[in-house]
Amino acid sequence: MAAEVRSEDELGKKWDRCLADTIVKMGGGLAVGVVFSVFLFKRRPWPVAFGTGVGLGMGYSNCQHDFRSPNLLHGTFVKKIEKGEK
Amino acid sequence: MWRASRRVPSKIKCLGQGRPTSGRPQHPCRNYAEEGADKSAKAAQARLQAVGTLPTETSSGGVAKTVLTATLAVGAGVGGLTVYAKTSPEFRKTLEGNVPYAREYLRAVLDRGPKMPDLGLGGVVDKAKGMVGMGKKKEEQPGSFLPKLSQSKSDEEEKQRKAAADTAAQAIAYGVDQPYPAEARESSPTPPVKYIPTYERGKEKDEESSSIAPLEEVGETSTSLGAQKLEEASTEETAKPVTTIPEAAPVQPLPVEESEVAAPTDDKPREILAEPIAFGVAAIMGRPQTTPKKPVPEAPPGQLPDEKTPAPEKMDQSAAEAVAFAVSVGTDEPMPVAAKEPSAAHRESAVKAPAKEKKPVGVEKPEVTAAAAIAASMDEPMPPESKSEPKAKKAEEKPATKKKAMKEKAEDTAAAAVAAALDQPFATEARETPMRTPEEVQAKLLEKEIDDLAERAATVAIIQHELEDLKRTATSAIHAQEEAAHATKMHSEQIKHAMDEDSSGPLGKEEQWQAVTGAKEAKVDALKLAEASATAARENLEKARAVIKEGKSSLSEPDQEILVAEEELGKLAYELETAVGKVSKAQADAQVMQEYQDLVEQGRKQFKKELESIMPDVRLGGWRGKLSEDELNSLIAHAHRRIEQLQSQLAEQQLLEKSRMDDALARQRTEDEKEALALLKRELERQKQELALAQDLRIAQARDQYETEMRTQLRRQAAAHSEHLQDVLRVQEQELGSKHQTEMHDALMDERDRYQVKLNEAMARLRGVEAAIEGRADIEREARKAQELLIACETLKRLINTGNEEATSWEERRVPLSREVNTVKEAAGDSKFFQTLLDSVPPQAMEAGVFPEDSLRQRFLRVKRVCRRVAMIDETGGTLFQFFVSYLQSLLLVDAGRRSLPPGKEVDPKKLDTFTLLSYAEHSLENGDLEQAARFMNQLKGEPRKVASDWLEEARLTLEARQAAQALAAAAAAVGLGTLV
Repeated sequence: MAAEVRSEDELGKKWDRCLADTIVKMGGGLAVGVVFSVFLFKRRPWPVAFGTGVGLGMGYSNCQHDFRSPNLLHGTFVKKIEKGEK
Repeated sequence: MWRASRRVPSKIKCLGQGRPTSGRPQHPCRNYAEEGADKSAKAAQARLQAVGTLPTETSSGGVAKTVLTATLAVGAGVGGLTVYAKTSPEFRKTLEGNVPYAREYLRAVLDRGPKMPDLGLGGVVDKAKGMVGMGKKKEEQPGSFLPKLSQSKSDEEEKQRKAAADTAAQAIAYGVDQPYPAEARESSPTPPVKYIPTYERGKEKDEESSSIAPLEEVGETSTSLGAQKLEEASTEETAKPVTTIPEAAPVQPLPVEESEVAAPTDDKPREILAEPIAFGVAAIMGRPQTTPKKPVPEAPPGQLPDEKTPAPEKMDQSAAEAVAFAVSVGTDEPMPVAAKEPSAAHRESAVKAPAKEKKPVGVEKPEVTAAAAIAASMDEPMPPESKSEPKAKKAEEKPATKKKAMKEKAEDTAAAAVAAALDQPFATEARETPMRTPEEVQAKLLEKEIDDLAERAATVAIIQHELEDLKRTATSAIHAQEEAAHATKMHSEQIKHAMDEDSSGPLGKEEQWQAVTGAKEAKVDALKLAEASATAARENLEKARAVIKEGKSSLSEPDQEILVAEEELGKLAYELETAVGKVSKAQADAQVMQEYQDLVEQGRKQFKKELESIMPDVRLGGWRGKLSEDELNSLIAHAHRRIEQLQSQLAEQQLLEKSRMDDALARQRTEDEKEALALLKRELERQKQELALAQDLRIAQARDQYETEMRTQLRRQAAAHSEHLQDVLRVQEQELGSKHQTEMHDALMDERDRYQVKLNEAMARLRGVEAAIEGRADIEREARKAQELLIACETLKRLINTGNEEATSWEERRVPLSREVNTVKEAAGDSKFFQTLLDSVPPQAMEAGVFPEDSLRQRFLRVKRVCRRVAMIDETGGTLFQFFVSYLQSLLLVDAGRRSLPPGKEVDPKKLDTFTLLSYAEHSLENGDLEQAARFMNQLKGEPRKVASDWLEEARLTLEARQAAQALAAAAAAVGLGTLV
């Protein structure tokens, strides 16, 4: 039952989500930084670190927000099924 | 005989035939032909030799064989063709078209089909079938005649005849084949010698028997194997050659015979066969059939021109043989000598004997039949004295055998007749008196009757035997007496004749006196014989009389037979006495004559003496030549004197005549009186006897009459008695019935009342019992319900405590409680208390179920760990950093001494931090106190409370459900206890 998460497991889930989000964001910043570094800044290293830092920061911010607002819903769109359809 | 006469002609025909064109008589020939030349050319030759148609010399045997073989071959060919032509019309047409005379022949042979005798083609087929043995075939031929013999006669007769014929045929099959040719062969050279006895039988009995004897012996030795059939065969045998031989006589030229043999129609032999057998059967069946209907001679009459025997005699002969045959068949005993001796006298007696004896054997006189039968059975060992006279023996034995022949028959008939006679009265009696078992009575009476009958029959038999004996003796005695009387008379006559002076010369006198002497001797002999026989007859008479007397005394009622016998006895006695009287009369006459002779002799002697005294010198009777004058004178003188003397004497005599006459008359009178007295005595005796007989007869008749009358009266009385008895019984039955009915009714009513009372009692008791049972059943039902409820509640409790025991992880141990709760609801019924309790079960637990304590404990470990990690976070939440620090704190915190800490008796809620609470809760859980653990957990605050909220919820559900279940179980137990009473 993915929908129903036990109260004791909820924190773990939050941690999972945070980590995944942070990694994605860091990866995105790194990539932008590399592009910038290669194309604009003549292969200078700092755009890479900057991009990564931005990603990390975004992840952290998101994570804290998640932990602070426990009642925020993390839902997905579910297609409504008509009663008569099935 | 008939068989032989049939057989031989067939052979003759065969031989003579040769040409296939002759019509009917060919069949036997064909038979022979088909029997096959292979079978017995030799035997056939021997027979032909015996018949005398072939040259009999053995030197010409080869030629004879060739001729015979050729003849047989031709015959076989023709026969085969004929048979085939009969079966296939095409072949017949071909034959008729190609072979001359074939049409006529075949028409003659085949188209007369229905008129042909049975022995025709059927015989052929039979022969062809039974090629194996000739004897058997021969036995079939006469057998095939039989069914046609007499359809008009009764079935029994026919059966008997069949049986007789079969046995005879078998006998022939055994005996004829071997002895016959030999006999024929040896008899053919001298046939007339053996033939003579056949028609001279009537005259010479003894001679003929002796002359027949060797033939018989031939037959007997050849067939004396001891079996009865063979005995019959021997009788057949003795009969056969007699007729066979004359036919085979060489005097007869062959063609003549052939034509004559062929002449008679085929019906003749059958009749010939039928007559003696029918006669024999009639003799067996006890039908008096003294003369056959048709005097058919066994052999064709023209065949023996030199034979002068008239047909009836022949018939007699055949009939006698048939009788003998029948006797031998019927008695199953060897033929006695008398039966074998074919004397005409015997035959006649044999023919008449059954007729005579059978006459009384009517349907209404079964006793007599039985008597005859028993007499027959008794006669055999009885006559030892009669053996002294061979003639008597023959006469005796003949009827004896006859009787024996009839014995079984007669006994059967007697039994049947008795049964029939007794059946009707018994039936009526049985109907009238139904109380007795009629079969028993009938059987007993029948038995008694039979016993009586047998006794009577035995007595009658004895008497008859004695009477017969007596008759014989008496006849001979009377005969002897007559002879004696005759001899005496002759003697007297002779004397008279001899004493007549001037009948003839002295020479004749001599002869006459010689005759007198002879007559006297004859007379003496005859007298002696007469006396002896008379004594014997008297003895027999006495014996018979004694026997009859005994029989009369022994039998309860004198039999008709005995009366008749007595009458006969009286008659015989009278005859005997008459004959004896005749003799004595003749003797008296002879005495007178003797006296006369004596007187004459005396006178003559006196005269001689006188003459001698007068003339001593003159020898009277001795003179020769002429007498002298003196002599003559003296003679004359003497004569004169004598005359004078005689005259004086005459005068004196004349004077005395009267007195003498008177004397003589007186004497005569006395004699006559004596005679008359004797006669009177005899007559008186006779009349007395007759009277006695008549009286006896009348007594017997009267007894019979009274007996019958008494029987009818008794029967009537019995009927009346039974009727009366029935009436009385009926009335009694009615009375008793009504009485019984009333009694029964009363008793019935009483009984019914009593029964009613009892029934009511029983019903009340039953109702009580039913009520008790129903109450008990209610209790039981309650108890059962309570039990069910208890069980359901216990089940619910157990389910809450244990959950799904088959689950692998703690999450799956949750089981929905709805089923068990429903069961409890059903078991509880509409109890409000239970309804309330059941309603208290949380719906979430009903649908999803509750975790058991174990699962909660397991879950608690994880809840506790997470709680420790977030112990620093309060309700307002914290930063990520705070979370990190809290995690570090939980890592660094060692709760060695505080793990599973038992709470004290008093707990200060303000001092409790997260870790202490968790520790207390863990301890409570480990000790099984979920409720306390839940209470401790409920004290958590901040983030840990958030974390533990789910667990707490579950624990609360479990606790609620458990509480409800425990309440239910307690209630159910209480209910169950209530029902236990």
